[in-house]
Amino acid sequence: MAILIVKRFLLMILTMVAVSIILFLLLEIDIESIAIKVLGPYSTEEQRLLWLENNGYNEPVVLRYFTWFGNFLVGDFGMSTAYKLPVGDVLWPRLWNTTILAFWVFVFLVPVSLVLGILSGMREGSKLDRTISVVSILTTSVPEFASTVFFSGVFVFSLQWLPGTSNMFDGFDWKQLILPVLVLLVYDFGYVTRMTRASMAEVMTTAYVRTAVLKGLPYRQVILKHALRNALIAPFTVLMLQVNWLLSGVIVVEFFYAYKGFGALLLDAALRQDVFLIEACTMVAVFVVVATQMISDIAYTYLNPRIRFT
Amino acid sequence: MGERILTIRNLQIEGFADEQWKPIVNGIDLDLNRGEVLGLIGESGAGKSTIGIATMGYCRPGCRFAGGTIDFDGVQVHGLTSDQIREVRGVRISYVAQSAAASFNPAHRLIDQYVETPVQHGVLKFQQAAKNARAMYATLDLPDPDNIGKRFPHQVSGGQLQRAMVAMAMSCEPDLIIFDEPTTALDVTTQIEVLAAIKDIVHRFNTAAIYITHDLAVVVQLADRIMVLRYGDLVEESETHEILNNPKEDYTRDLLAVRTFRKNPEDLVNEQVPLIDISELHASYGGGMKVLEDINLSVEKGRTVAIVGESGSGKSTLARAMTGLLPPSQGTVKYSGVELPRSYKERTKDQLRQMQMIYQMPDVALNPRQKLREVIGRPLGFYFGIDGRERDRRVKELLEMIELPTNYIDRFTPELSGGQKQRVCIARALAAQPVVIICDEVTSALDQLVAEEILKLLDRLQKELEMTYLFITHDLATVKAIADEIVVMLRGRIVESGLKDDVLTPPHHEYTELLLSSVPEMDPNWLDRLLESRVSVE
Repeated sequence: MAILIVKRFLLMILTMVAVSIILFLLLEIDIESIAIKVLGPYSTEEQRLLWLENNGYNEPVVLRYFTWFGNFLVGDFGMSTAYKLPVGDVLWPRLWNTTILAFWVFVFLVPVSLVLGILSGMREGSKLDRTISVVSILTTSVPEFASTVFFSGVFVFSLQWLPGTSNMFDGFDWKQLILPVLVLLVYDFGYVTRMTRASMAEVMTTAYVRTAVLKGLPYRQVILKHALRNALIAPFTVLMLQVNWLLSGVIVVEFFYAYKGFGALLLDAALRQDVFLIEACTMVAVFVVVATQMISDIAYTYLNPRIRFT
Repeated sequence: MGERILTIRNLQIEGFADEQWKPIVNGIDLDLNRGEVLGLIGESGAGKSTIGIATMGYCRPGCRFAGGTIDFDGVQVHGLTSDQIREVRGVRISYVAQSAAASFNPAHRLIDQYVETPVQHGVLKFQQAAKNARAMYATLDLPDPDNIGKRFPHQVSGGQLQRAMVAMAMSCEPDLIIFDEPTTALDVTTQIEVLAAIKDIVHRFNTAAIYITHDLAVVVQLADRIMVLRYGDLVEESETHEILNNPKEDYTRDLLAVRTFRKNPEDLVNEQVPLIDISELHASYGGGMKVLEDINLSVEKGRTVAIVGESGSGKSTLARAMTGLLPPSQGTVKYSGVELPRSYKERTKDQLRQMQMIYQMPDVALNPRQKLREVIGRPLGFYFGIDGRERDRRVKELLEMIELPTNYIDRFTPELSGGQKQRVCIARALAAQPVVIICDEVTSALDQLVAEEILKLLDRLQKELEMTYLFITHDLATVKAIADEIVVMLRGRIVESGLKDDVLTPPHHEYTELLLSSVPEMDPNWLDRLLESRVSVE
């Protein structure tokens, strides 16, 4: 087990190094354009050359990469050109905000989608199953940009129950969190429900579930002890993928509600050509992906004794 | 004979198919006394498993109870509430399924699954049940009975797992056990140990049993009485010796006469033209454990070479290595004196054409969204560029050759029966006009009567088309029926080979002897005699 974790961990580092090299090649090879992005299009040729010289850009590429990577490791991501602040100061609060959002979505997503998926898959083709299936397909089919407008129309403009923006200018306000969480939940739960249902329905047809029934076990126990553990393997992976999505892919919702999150920041950085901020955001997003993947791999060996990664 | 334990009257069960309820079991009567073993025998679709699990008040999803009564020890099983029926299941009637590998929960240890039933029903405390489990594992001759329960199902062999399943069924010492094809998925040598275990346990505990199988030779070893079923109807019911010696119905006689087909020895092609020459062939999967070691084999034109072995002996891998699906790590495969490239990717279209394969599962080998025209027509187009009307004409010719009506050309493959599907697979292979056909367990998934017809067809085609067959099988009855030469494989090596009569007449290699003696015979005393003789040898 320890060997597995160490191996996975090394693989994770390797993946991140590979991505960092690609990122560096994409963004930092053309030093001329970096100077323009940092100093602005109206800077003079002399200013740029001076800036490049002062910031070590005339060193060999390999050396520059190692310096860059070293700075990254100690948390020095450079200065954000758009915000005129160290990148870290901009990034971490945003990531924290997104984590809060993701956390609350997850708190509702996991129980709702697993319970619905299991209920639905337990008796395939029953009325309950069909109802849950229709609802989950319907909600998943509506894209976030449509449901944001819809929910705002209902709760903000008609009923006037909730605030229409979630910028939290006056400190944390849970009311402002409700709409973004709701939109993300409605969009995402259907997908996870469907995956859980498929997995559960398959397990219910297996011979070992029949064995459990023919042993005279109560239905509850057949489900909880024999079906669930095997049925949850696939949804677990799906849920881990939702973490990635919630932490770096919820750009539309964050933007719509003016929520100061990580996705909105990434979009902002891209639009304003804030090179160092883009680099930092990308690396954080990659870290989230490889870390969740590692957790899923390790958890897999617990869920399914037949799988032993080495 | 003990008192009556089970009485079934006019049992009717229906299944939902094609938007309507159709009868699966049409009014079966069944009686069983304590300590008696009843054999239910029939081909697939006979309703034997359905009857078996109906005694536990259970219908498969998509089936329903449609009438009749099941009286188990004075209780009407069908009238019970779901809580009451639970008190019967596992405690008083238990079930042993065909595939133990699929019927054990892969995520729990064996002993936990054993202990579950008695503990859940409050029959025994955990410690006592676990102690019983170890004793039962010992009774059933499982290795290391004190610790084997700590393993997960995937960590023990197929035969051991099946015995663990029998042990689990005994956990509450039930009055009745339903054995549903418990040895069908096993090798013959493994089948013996499971059969012996079942026989021992049933006698020791005086348990009544219903033993369901398609193999008459297996059931006569255990059953006191046999019911022959077909399409949900009772064909014949008698004491075991009566069925064997004096069958009343034609269908029963057919079942008894199965495996009697023999290739005419005069058809043996004596002129020896070496066609395939394999020398010093080694193969492994992913560079790991060796699956084939030092295989030397030559196949003469027009002959049938049977490759026999149990699961894991490497016989299918040999076919994969020959066809280049699994490029061998060492050694050569020569075809008509020309060395073939290791991988199929490097072989010419003509080299590929001359060696065709037929597989075990016709269901999986055929695309369900294709009509026979496309299935059989594809090789015609691929190898010969034939299409349009000419292709249809050839496909119809091939359909005639495999004894299917020519108007089947517009049928989709799922509209055919298992035997017909296998015929289509044969036609597809023939369409390429091959010289050699490799048949990989082609009759194993079929009912015995259907399998026999397939063997006859293959034999006829061989005569007409001078075909060479490489016949991979675990079933010695098939080998006796169709082979000219036999190659016996064990753990990736050839242990014995030669002309059929030479291999089948003593003295044998000891493994060949073990294989041959393990094939059940239509004799109720066969198992006892065999076990005795093996003990005395030890």
